[in-house]
Amino acid sequence: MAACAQIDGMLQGYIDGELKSSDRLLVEQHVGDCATCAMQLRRHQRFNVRMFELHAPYRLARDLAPSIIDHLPDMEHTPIDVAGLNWRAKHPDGLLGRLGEFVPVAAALLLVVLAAVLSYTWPHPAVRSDALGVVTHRQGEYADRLAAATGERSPALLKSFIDAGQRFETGEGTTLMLSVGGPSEIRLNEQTRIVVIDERRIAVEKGQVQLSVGKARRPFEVTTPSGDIRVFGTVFDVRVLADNRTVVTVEDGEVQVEHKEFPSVFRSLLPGQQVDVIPGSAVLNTLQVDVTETMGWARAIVANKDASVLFEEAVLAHSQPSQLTGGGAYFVATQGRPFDSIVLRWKENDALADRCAYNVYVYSGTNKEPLFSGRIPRAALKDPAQHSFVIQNAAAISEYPQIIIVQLVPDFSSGSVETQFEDEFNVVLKPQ
Amino acid sequence: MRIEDAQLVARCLAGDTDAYADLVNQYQSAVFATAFYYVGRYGAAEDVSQESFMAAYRSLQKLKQPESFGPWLKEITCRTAANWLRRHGVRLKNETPLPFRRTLSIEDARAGPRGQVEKKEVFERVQQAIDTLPERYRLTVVLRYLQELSYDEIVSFTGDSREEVRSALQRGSKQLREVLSDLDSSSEGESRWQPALK
Repeated sequence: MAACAQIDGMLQGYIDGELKSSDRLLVEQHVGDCATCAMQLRRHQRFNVRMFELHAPYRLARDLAPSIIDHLPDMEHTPIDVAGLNWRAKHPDGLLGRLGEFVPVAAALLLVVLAAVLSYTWPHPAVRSDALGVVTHRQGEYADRLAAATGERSPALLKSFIDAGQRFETGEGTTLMLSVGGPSEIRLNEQTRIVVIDERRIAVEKGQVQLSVGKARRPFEVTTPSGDIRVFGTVFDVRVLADNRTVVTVEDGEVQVEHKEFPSVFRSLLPGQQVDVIPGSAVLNTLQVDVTETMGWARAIVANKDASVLFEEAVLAHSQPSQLTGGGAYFVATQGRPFDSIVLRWKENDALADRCAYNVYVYSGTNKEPLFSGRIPRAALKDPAQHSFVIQNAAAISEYPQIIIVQLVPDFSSGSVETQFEDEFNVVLKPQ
Repeated sequence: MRIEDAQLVARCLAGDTDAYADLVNQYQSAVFATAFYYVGRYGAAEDVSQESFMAAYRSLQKLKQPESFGPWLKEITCRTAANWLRRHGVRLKNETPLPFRRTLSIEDARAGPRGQVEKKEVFERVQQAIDTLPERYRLTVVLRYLQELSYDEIVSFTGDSREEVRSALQRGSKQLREVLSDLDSSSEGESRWQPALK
């Protein structure tokens, strides 16, 4: 049966009559079995009906077209100065005509001079095309920045720029918000320490951060002492506890969590789910939690307006939009048959490019449970003679799903150039 | 992105006003809802809608991508509404004293004058709640609840993707339900509201 969180995300579409028929059936089947979701659906419906009823008296009550068509203005055309042309044709030597010829030139010159003066005196934000972001919120007294190379400590001031490799640390009663290209927002709770590795990678060393990741097509990666987290555009909360346990809570989107000690242990979280990554334990248990409670602290952190403007003008305007495709998820119909490996194929690669390796995660298409994972090393992708790679199915699977989901995630720490994969995978079935 | 819009725009540019009437029919609900969202009263919203369609017609030759007529019209409507607000000083949204509708529904008649006043108060609270939503959800929520636009209609007007519309409505209405939780009593009939006759 589908998860309640998944159904909850579809209820609005269901009520609005905008779901695909397969999703509609899924919802209907689920609310037939699940009393909580059925009640939720009734409350949703009631609320919607009330909203429609309340708005009804203000709805547009007449057709505007007739009165608009009756009073249509003329379309604007580029005007042609017929009178001026005639006058000049009749008075070829007129003094005014002569002087008149210089008016456009003089006006243009005047404009150029004015523009030059204005642009010289206009206050420019200090453009730092290499900066990763800006500190856009600071509340409290103890927030420090530690320089990348020297570890030298200085206060992390509002509106200051963020460089690669810097560490940020908040003390008691102090919160910070860092806006980085993407655009993504990183909110730091009190007594937190993180490293900004680049604009799509951070490491949380202690404390609690909430991330609102922009929909750039590269994944955003968060490393913690016990787990690695990879996401595309989404909102989630990461908390590193004193015993190096990592707690990840998802508010929006889909978040993939991987256990650092056990690379084969991974999980995909949906909104409202929480997972505990415990050092030494190869089990990732998901819980349903109240997200508003976990993330309440982050809602109080709002970007300073001036700092946001600075961020937009000095950082966002200069950052290159990402052209990368960021891997992707593929569905493979396996029709429940057992298989012992999958083969991934790609188009021809040249050896010179700085290819990045790929992590491959395989999920069951029916319940999104993780099955197994693997990695395509950089060397394989760089070898011009090689066009495919085999990932072995290392999992003991009792019941094979009808469909599997293969997720390809580029690892940009190994290289910067992506590979274009063929849309069709070959799933090699296990010999009977 | 609508191919039909591009064809209609081309016909308008060739002088066919019927084509423009089709565009008005297609988008008047969305334009009206946007105008209402800004100016907050029925009459003014109608004026702003008409003005927006006229302004769009006047500068139709400047439209670079005719298949994006909807999003372009949305920009013009926002600008026209902002100008209206500038001319008329303040936002009148939450002080809507004017009668706004020509006919009473059965429920209105049954509720009597007191019921109507209450309803108006609740409507104002809903508007205030909508104002607290994140900017990117607001217009979508208004388009859906005020004019009951379908997702496709919202997509062609705002230029957002269907997925963005879906998630804006999902999250917007969730937040509204939280803010207006006292309106959502789970025991039907006990609330001071009557369930809607629909």
